[in-house]
Amino acid sequence: MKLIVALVAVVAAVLAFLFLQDSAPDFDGTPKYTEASDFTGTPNFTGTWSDPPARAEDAFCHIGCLIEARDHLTNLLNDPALYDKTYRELRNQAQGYQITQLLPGYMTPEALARRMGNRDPRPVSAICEPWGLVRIALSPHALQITPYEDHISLQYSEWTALRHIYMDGREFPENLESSKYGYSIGHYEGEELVIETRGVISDNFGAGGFVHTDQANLIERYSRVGEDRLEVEVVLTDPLTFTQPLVMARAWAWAPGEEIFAYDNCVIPE
Amino acid sequence: MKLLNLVLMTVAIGYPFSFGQAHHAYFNVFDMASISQIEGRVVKLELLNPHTAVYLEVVNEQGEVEDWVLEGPGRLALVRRGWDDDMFEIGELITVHGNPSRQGKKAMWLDRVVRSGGDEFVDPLIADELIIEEQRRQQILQYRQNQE
Repeated sequence: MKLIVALVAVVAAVLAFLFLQDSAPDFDGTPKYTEASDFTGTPNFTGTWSDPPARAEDAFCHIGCLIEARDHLTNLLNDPALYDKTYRELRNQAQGYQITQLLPGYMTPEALARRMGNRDPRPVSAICEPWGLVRIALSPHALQITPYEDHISLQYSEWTALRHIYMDGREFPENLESSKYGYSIGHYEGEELVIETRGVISDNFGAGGFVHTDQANLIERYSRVGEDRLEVEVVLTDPLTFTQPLVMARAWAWAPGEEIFAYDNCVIPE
Repeated sequence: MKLLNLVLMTVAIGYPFSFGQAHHAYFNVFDMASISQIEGRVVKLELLNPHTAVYLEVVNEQGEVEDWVLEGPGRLALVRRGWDDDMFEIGELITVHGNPSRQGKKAMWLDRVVRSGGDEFVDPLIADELIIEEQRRQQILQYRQNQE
């Protein structure tokens, strides 16, 4: 009887190990990227994407931006009356518009009161604190997308953050426990990959010192534009923070040779 | 070594900050609307995440040696743009352009580093910005030529 129990335990351990191998791709710090896709699904986002192309609006949104602010920048850039202004001047103008005028208009009074942004007494600005879901979803630098049979993994170079997107048609669990990156379920709609995430902890999402609460819900819509460009539109709702959904965007350029290496040496300069 | 001069050029120059800048607190720590310039000798380069640090010895106008830290984009961004751990000799004289500390600390945010031989290492985002600026100039030139 003991032998049977032992055998069952060993088999269970092996199965669990294999399951974890499949659902959580190892990241061992060695260069790891996908040159081409074995994935036959449609659409195909497989591979490594990185910083945006050197294009005005993309650079402005390189860590995400409100689409309204991006459109505002486009209008500024296309206004002949502003042709004597540099891109930098107009970008700063659009950024100021985003942070000081647009964003506060989306916030509940309580959220505005929670706003961070006191002058920081430290001599340097680095923070060794991994970013939350919204900020990592809009993270600059590399994003490696790998489809599996029942899920997709999103591996970010920053913090080597790893997200799992379940693609097996499951529903959100009841009594979802909050976590850093929440619980994500995805599906395809035409040429788009649509991901919904719930169950995130309250976190700074990077927008001028604002934070969202654990009531936040994130919907990401990824689309591939041609061979070399990946775009995402992100809709963030949080009834305790926003009076209306926040619609943001970011773009990546195809970067098949880019390495993702361990982000395990975070150090704050002395 | 000589502190050239902390030339604060309030010339509407700002770091290409974006929606997510607050997590790095650039604006709380550095004055992104100003550019300063210092010259000093490299003590140490730490090519780290999330930010890189170059430690410098700078001689001020009184002839005193000051310890400065130049903070810049992290290893993720800079290695792809040609930086490596051994790129500077210890004691190498470099000129640094960057955004000064808001608190008057001996710290800057990297805009560009110029080596004594003239080689420049530019913040990758600044490098992209130069491309975009040139594209904009060309488009405006084309527009004006069409108007004539």
